[in-house]
Amino acid sequence: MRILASTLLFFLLTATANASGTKVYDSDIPGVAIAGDIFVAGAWTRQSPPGVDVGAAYMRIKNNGEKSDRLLSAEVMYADEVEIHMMGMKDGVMSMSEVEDGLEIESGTAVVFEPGSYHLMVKGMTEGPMAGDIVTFMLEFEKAGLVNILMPVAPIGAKGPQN
Amino acid sequence: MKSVRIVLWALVALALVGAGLLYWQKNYSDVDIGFSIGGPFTMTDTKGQVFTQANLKGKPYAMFFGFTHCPDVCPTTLWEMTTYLKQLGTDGDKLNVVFVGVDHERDTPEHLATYLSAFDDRMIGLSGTERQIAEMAKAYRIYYKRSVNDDDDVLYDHSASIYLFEANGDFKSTIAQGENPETALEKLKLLID
Ligand SMILES: [Cu+2]
Repeated sequence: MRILASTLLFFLLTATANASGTKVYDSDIPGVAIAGDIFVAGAWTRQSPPGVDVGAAYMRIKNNGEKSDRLLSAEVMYADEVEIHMMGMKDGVMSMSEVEDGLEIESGTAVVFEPGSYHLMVKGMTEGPMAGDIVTFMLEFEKAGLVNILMPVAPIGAKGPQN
Repeated sequence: MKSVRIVLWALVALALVGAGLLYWQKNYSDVDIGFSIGGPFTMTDTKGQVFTQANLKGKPYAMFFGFTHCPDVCPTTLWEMTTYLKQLGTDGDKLNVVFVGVDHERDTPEHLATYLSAFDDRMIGLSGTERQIAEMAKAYRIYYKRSVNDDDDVLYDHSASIYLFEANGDFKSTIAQGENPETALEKLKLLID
């Protein structure tokens, strides 16, 4: 069963090459993508409240490789910029800061992006997505390269993709 | 032999602490430690009307602070509050739920009205001038700090707890960021009773 699933996954995930020769991994399963040793799962974003041009996206990234990798950047069509942010809670005070120079994902470990923690900060949205939509984020890893990942859009303020 | 002695001394110490606590309870339980959260404030509601603590009197209230250009925590908290109000049903009418925007530049009454339209319409949104917000934050023991990052984005660090007050304005308890939703709902029910 597991072999069948991974074979299916193999066919669903196709590695293509873009004009510059860089590998771009595409996935057509919402929330999941594989780029070499990098597995991304549980990816989702959510609709933003009205009148706001910022948003957040979340996912889990696992590095199955021998060497550490680094999430360098991300982008999405409907926004000017996407940044890697960390939400920190200290003495009941929430503060947010950008992760400079990318986020390291050490060999054999996973990084979890979730509300109140790491998030992809989406800035300068022209027309943000609506709950029920599926959008494509492109992630850039130092070693694994570029990966397009489909993210389902959850309702405003949702704490997970199922809400 | 030595360990027995340690145990005995520990027991003695425990007894002393116990006696001390009893003594403290008896004599000092009503000592004023200067603990106060809450108090009067003057802000503006989403209709542009002046809103003070007097507008909240008669109902217990839940109050939290944030800013609308906050992508992560604030929408989550507002959505949680919306869920609790839905679960409380008409009992939710016995409660005032207040969201205070600490961003005096962008959290205007009009903007808060638009923003809050996505959440339970019983929620009250408050805006203020820089000074009004500072005064209110001081009374409510809220920490917030404006910062501008390299991209000229204005961001705020802010206290993320929801503060619960009795109908007379006395502070009761908090719902912490990330608190178990069942516990949070229980606290709100207790507050209404
Ligand atoms: Cu952020």
